Amino acid sequence: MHTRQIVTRVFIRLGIAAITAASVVACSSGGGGGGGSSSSGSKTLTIGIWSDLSKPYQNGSAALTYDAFYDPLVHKTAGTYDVTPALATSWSYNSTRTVLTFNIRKGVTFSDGTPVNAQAIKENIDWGRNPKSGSLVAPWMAPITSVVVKSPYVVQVNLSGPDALLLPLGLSQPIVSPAAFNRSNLAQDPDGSGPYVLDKSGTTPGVQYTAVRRNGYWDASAYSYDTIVYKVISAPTAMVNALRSGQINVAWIYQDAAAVGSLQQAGYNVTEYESGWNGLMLGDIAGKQIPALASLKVRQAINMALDRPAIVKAVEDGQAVPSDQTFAPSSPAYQANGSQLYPYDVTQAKKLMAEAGYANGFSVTIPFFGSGYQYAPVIVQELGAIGIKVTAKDDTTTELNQYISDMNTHPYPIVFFEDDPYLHFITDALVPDGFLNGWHRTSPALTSVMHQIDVANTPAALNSAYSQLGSFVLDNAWFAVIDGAPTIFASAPGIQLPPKLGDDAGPELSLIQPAK
Amino acid sequence: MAWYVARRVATGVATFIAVTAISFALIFVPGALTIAREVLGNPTYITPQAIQAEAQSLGLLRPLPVQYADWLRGLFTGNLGRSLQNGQSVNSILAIHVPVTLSLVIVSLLLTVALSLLLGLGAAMRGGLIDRALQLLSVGTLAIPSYWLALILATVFGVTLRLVPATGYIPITVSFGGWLSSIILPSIAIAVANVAAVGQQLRGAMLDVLRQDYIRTLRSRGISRRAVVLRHALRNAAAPGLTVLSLQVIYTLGGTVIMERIFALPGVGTVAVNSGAQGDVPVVLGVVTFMTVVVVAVNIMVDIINGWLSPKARIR
Repeated sequence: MHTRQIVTRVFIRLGIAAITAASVVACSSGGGGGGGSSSSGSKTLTIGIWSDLSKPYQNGSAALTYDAFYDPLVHKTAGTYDVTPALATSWSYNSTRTVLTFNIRKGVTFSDGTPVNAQAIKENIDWGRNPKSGSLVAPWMAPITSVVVKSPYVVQVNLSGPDALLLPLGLSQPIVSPAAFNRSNLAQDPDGSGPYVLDKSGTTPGVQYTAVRRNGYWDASAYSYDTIVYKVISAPTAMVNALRSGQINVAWIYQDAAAVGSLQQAGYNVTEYESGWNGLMLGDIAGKQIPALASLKVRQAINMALDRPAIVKAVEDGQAVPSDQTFAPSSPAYQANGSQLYPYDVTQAKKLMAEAGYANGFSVTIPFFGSGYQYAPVIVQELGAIGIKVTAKDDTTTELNQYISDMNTHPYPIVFFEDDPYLHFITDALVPDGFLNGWHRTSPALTSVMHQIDVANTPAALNSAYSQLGSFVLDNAWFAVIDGAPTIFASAPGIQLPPKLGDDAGPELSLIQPAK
Repeated sequence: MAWYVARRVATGVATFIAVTAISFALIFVPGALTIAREVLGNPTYITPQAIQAEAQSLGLLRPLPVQYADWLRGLFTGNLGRSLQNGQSVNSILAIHVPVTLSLVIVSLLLTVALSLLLGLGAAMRGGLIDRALQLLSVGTLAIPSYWLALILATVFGVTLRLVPATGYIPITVSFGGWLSSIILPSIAIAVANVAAVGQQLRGAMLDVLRQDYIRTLRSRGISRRAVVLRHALRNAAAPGLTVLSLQVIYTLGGTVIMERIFALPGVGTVAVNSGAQGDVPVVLGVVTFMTVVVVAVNIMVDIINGWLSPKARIR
């Protein structure tokens, strides 16, 4: 037989094998699926998450997962700085607002069967306020001096002074069964009292977590889905593909015009939530290292030298919102007329510099952390136009914690930073000993405003105080914010996300509902 | 042959010890306290005393040779330790993630072998269109990055046509069809890049062998063309192709992390990146162990097969 015939036969046989294999693939359980409703009327929500579950108190942006497995002591209300009952059914302050007493909900147990009571709450608060436990929220609990169990379901929190941020920040953390505090696998095997419990049969640690409704949960009607499936997908493209192919229903999407456009074209709901700001922290307002920064006019000039829309277009490809404020538009601290305060005006900025006695400008080194270094060239250029000679320090690869540590130990007069527009920004960056306030900036006016916040006993008084705070920050130009980067969530048709967020990094689980 | 195999295995063991020891030393370059800080979640204001206490409790402050010896002892009893991050046993972590990577490597290997044989043999013996197709494929796969091809495959077949899952992994124990559908796109992306190299090697080797006098002699003795090609020529031409194939397998093993990210496959590559960034020493060593064992095993197998195919190879 001719060689050619031998090879032809081999080809034919291999070809038949290949077609058979392809048919198996095509007929097998193929694409799509995931999420959506399952049989017998139960509803399943499948959420893509960027990273594995983390331990409570060690991740500030994991609300979407904590919501499933844990209850907080008090619940931070989306859209306001207010709190509502959760494991605490009620609470009250004494007349000086230095003693906060909680009544704890009865009949609630953790997944391990131990009761949620005053002792459990005390142990959680003590754990959360102890820096040695690794808690990230310890600074937010700093005003707490001691926690006392008054009775099985009454716990008293003693404070060093009034602090309005304690409830929405420090005491809205997930409550964990004390028996599980030191369990090394707590992250992947949660032990809380939340609306859902982990279904281990549908869980592969590090890959997928399935949560099913907790029997007898005290607020079951608030949650629309019977099953929540979390799929860990750590790459942006894979996340979008999983959403578009129906494998997940909800996901946090990176800012990417092409991805957002493709999702919208395919009929997916894309919701942009205000989140984060990028800009300069003008730390040395006392002028210790750069005397010029002690002048308000110089700080105002810096703000007016920045062409925010142009910077957003050049650096973020239009995917951010030009802004000059650290607070989000939905915050009571946001100043509606803020954008008129510092319009882009190089001429006026130069005039201010001259009036301050710095017509020739000054030199300064500014470190740029993480992706912020992409702003460096334009900031160098625009501040250079008013005489400020900037040397940009590339801290792209510096660990965040090292960067923050440097801000405290060797603070630069001006640093580029990215932060959230949330409440903890106040505690972290505005109070004199906040860990982002390396220069310990303060002023009598700020102290007065903070005191008003702490003692406000009506929502109107609180909002008014926050508004004064926002005005103070903006008027005194402690920052030169450039833009706000929105957090983008996408959901499949039929899934409704809340239109606005308050003080969170993602929508609350109870607010994700089937579309009406 | 037995002595040949024994020598290869002994070399493999020595390689394993060297690689794991060097990896162990490299993991500790940042220092035990840095690793302890990562284990604590790298909080901003953790005290030096807390870091020291954590490092002490994890045994990270012991001399490196002592720690390595402990780990080796555990290895011999099948205990690879526990993750410093979440306490999960390294054995169970690998049990979850190794099958994913192995599936990717094996399926892409099978596709590579099948397509390489098809194209390599065809190009060598038929020439013409098939030979030109192989040349074009070789140039094309050099120019087209495999991750780009993977993105195209995912978009077309996973997202648009929904023929197969765009992301995720379905274990073979759950569904064979589901497993194959979840692994086929990344395997194709990997195989396309490998086929050109292996196919070209096979083509060249076949051409050389078919020109040999003994091939003509075999035909003149009345042995069928099928037997000459499949039993004699291919056997002698396979060795270079096998060597290239083994290199491709090793290359694929190290490069799966890209495919794993594109298709959200929970494989060993992802674990390696995450555990390395977190300083999770036991998990890193577990991954290194797996990778080293596979590489050594592949090399040994190729040497054994080459030795079987060509007795002259056994002398070396």
